[in-house]
This record gives sequence, structure tokens and C-alpha cells, in this order.
Amino acid sequence: MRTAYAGLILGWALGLGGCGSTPPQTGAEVQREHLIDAGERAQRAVGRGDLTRAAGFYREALRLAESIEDFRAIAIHALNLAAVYQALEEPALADRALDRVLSAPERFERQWSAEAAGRKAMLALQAGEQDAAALWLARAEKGCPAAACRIRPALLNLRAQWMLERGATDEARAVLEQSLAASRAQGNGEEEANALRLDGRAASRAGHLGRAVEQLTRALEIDKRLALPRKIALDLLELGEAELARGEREAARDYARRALYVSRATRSRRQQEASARLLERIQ
Amino acid sequence: MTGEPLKTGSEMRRNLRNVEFASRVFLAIAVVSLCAAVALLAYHQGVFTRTIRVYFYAGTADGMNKGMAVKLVGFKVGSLEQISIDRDLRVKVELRVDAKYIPMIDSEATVRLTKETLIGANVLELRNGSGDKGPIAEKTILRYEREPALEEIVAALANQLQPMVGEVRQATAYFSNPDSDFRQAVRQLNRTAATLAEAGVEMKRLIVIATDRVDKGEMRLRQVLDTTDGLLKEASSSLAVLDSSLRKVDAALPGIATKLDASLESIRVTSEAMRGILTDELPSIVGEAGALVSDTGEMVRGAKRSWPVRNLLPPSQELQLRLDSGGGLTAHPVENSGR
Repeated sequence: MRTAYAGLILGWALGLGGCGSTPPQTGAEVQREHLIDAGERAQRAVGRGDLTRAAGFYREALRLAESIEDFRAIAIHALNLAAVYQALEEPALADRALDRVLSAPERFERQWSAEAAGRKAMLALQAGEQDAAALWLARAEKGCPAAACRIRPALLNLRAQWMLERGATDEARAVLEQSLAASRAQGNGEEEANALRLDGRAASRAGHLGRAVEQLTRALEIDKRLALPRKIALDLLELGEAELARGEREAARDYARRALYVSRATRSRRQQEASARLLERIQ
Repeated sequence: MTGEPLKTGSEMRRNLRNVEFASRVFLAIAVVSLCAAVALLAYHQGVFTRTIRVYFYAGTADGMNKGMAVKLVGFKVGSLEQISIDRDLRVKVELRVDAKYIPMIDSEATVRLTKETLIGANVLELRNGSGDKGPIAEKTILRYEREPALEEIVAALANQLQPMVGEVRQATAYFSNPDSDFRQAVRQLNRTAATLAEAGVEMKRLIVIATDRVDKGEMRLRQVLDTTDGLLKEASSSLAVLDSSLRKVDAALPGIATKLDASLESIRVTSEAMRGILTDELPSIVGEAGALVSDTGEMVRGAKRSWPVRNLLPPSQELQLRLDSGGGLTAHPVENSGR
């Protein structure tokens, strides 16, 4: 009986060893694993708010993807890198990352080129280059014609933003209604909050300050639920502006201070300056 | 009655015997496998390898542990078997050396406790002596040396630096002390040079006057010459002062030069040591650290792929920071088609 037990244990141990062993990998699999690993590390760094490190990992992932000419991975990581550079307030570097996709669009699927053009439009809007923004936006919309296009709500919001910058408030609000419907249909909370924020801004410009505060409060609720710190700061800033326009200085000061605290936590220089400027105006 | 016919007693006994035989065969195979595994393990552990025992005495057992490798020109030739302490507080260390390496190790060999790399594991390294006394034998007692540890190297470097800094400080204090011979000599030199310059200007003026007025009478000339004589005397005394100053400088210079020489030598030795560390040791440390990080990464990746860890982790997937018109950074799994 004891011998039977010993045999059983030996068999179990051998089986366990066999199951626990690592399957051999080919060179391509190893390369692919390194690529995904770099992407995951970058993603974790983004989650921690360590954007500089995230940019480093995305650069590494892009390098690995380019070394094996994996165009899908090149597009994904070039777009990721551009997003991180934009958040780091490095528009020139973001532009350069996007050029890897846009300089040879025939190599990439249409969705990636459209997304790259959309981000170019966003960068141009941030830089106040309305004409360039219009060109890139048109190119992005051309690459994303169907109603089910994944980035359609984002493009509609960018279009509305462009219209707002040109003073076309009513047209912008019409586009924002489409955007709200599209983002709710897709279950895209991020773009829904963006549309509400822009709608709040449009209402504020039209003098409908009560509606502006209402829309911005809803945007803030969604952004807080999704835990998006930079956008929370944006909502707070817009709310501060709307309350100031309503003459509610105390409420405006409270929002501006909260925006300052959030932007300090995210280390966004631009948002910190905007919060400080708003606070100065309220004083 | 339907169904299978009832088995007879003899059939049942035969079946039972077959089962018994099969289980015995299975158990026999299992036992043989176990014995083979144990034997293989023992073989790898060197149980069947013929070894001899050699000893050495050390002042401390720090850095040594049972089973650590004994190496000869980088090859493992044995291991540390036992560490004990005798009544004189000496540490007696017993080594097991593989018999096939005996002809390569002479009885005058030295055992040295060293590190495989600067931050690697400790090993005992055998260094052969002259070879006059033949190869090692059972119970040979070897000499022991301990390689200085990194902390000791740094401490030695600090000890080397200390006198140098002291000398530099002393030399600086000497040069900056207003009462030192050197500073006094320089001051006197300055004063003398100023007097000489004044005298030179005066002499030039007098020579011009003498040239212009030589025809104005011997009396005036004599007066001028007397003045000139006085000035020359003054210049002579100034030159004497200058001479004495220069003597002082001359006397002080060898001491200063010796101090400077000593300081420069110390600086040279220290910079040599620093250069040695920077060019030889640091790159290897950095290289080793890089390799270590890379190896650790590979091990973690390997562990992630192995069962059952791979079932506990979420599957790897490509994530994308999708275009967000508000500038947010939210990752989404990459879909195959965007539309």
C-alpha cells in the first residue's frame, strides 16, 4: 500500500512538472510578447499618471513594431504615443508621432488614418489654427463616414468645438445634439461628457447660464464616474467661468480652487495657469 | 433468466490474479522510476564523484557558507564542505575537491575568497603557487587570502584621500597666511619693485637735467651728481633688500615645491584609482545590472506563461488610447475593425 502511495505521488509530481513547464516560443512569438509587454507597461504608467514613463514605453513598443513592420501595431502605438505627448503638452512631438501614420496612409487601415487625422485636428484647434483644423477634420470625417464609426462622436464634438471657436453657436449646438445621440448609442461616456461640456460652453456664450451650469454639472458627474482627472479639471474651470458670469463669485472661486488642486495633481501646466488666471479674475 | 451468465469461482480468481499482476508491474515501474530519479539527482550532486578533503584556516567565516563553489581558473573544482571553529578562535574550513583536478592544483596553492563579479556571489578561488611541492593530497592545508571587499576599497581610497586633502589644505593655508615667509617675501618684492621704479623715473629725469645743464657750471653739476650718488645709494640699498627678499623666497621655495610635489603625487595616485574604478569596475557593474534586470524580466515572463499562473492572469491584449475630443486618456481593447 505504501509503495502504491509513493508511485502515486511520483506520478503526480511528474504530471505537475509537465503541466508547470513553459511551452517553447518561436522568435516571432517572443518579439510579439515584448511588444505587448511594452504596451501593457505603458498602459499601467498612464493609469498611474506617469505620462513621461508611458511615453518611453510607447516609444519602445513603436520601435519593436517598426522593426517587424507590423503596421497594425505601428498605427496603434503611434496613436497612443501622440495621445500621451498631447497630454504632456508637447504638440510638436505628438504631430511627429501622427506623421508616421499619415505620411503613408496606404499602409494602414482606414480607421487608423482617420483617427490620426482627428487627433491632428484636435492639436490644430488647441493651437488656434482654425484653417488647419478644418482640413484635418474633413479628412478624418472622410475616413469615418458610417454612423457606426467608432470615433464618430469624437469627430462630431471636434466639429462642434471648431464651430464654437468661429462663433457659430447655434450650428455647434445642433452638431452637439447629434454627438450626444451617437455617444449614448455607442455607450461612449467620455464623448457624452465632452458633448455636455461643449453644450454648456455654448449655452454660456448664448447667455443661458442656468442651462450651462446644468450641462456642465452633468459632464462633471460623468467624468468623475469615469475617473478622468484632466477632464474633471476642464469641467470645474468651465463651471467656474459660468458661475462668474452669473455673478456667483463664491461658487466661482470654489470651482476655480478645485480646478487648481486637480490640475496640480495631474501636473498639467496649462490647466494650472488657467485656474490661476480665473482665480485672479475672481479676486 | 436473461443477461450475462454468472462467472465461476475459478474465473473470478483468475481475473483477480491479473489485476494483482498489473498493479505489481505498475508499482515496480514507479519504484524503478523513483530510484532512477534519486540516482540521477545524486549523480548531479556529485555523490559518485571521487573527492579529496583539503583544509585552510581563516580569521573569520564572514562571506563563506557550506556548499559554496571552489573554483580554479573559473572552473568549479569542488565545494566548501564544512566550517568549524577551533580553540584559538581560528576558522577551520574543509573543502571537497574533485579528484580529477588534483594534478592541476599544487600544495602551495592559495585559497582566496572573492566575488564572481563585483556584485555577484562569493566563491573560493584556488591560485596555484610555484608548484615545487607537487599536487595537493588528502588533508593538505592550504594558505588563505581574503580579497578586499568593496567597502574596504572605498575605505582605503578615503584613507588615501585624507592626507592629500590635509596637505592641500596645509599648502593653501601656508600660501594664504599673511605672516608666512612666502607672503612676506612677495610683499617686500612688491615694495622693492615700487622703489626701483620710482628711482628709475627720478634717474631719467636727472640725466635729462644733467644733459641739458652740463654747461651751466660745475657746481650745479656736482650737486646733481651728489643727488645722483644719493639716489644710486638708495637704489643699492633697495637692491640689497631685493636680494634678501629673493634669498627668503629661495629658502622657502624647496619646502613649497616638496609640499606641492607630495600633493600632486597624491592627486595622481587617487585619480589613477578613480580611473580604475570608472573604467574597469563601473561599466561591468552597469553591464551586470542590465543583464540582471533583463534576466529577471525573462523569468517573470516565463513564470507568467507557466501553469497555473497563466490561468490566474488576464490574457494579454493590445490596448489603445482612443481619440477623446476632451483630451482624456482612456484605454480600450483594440477592435479588429473600427466601423
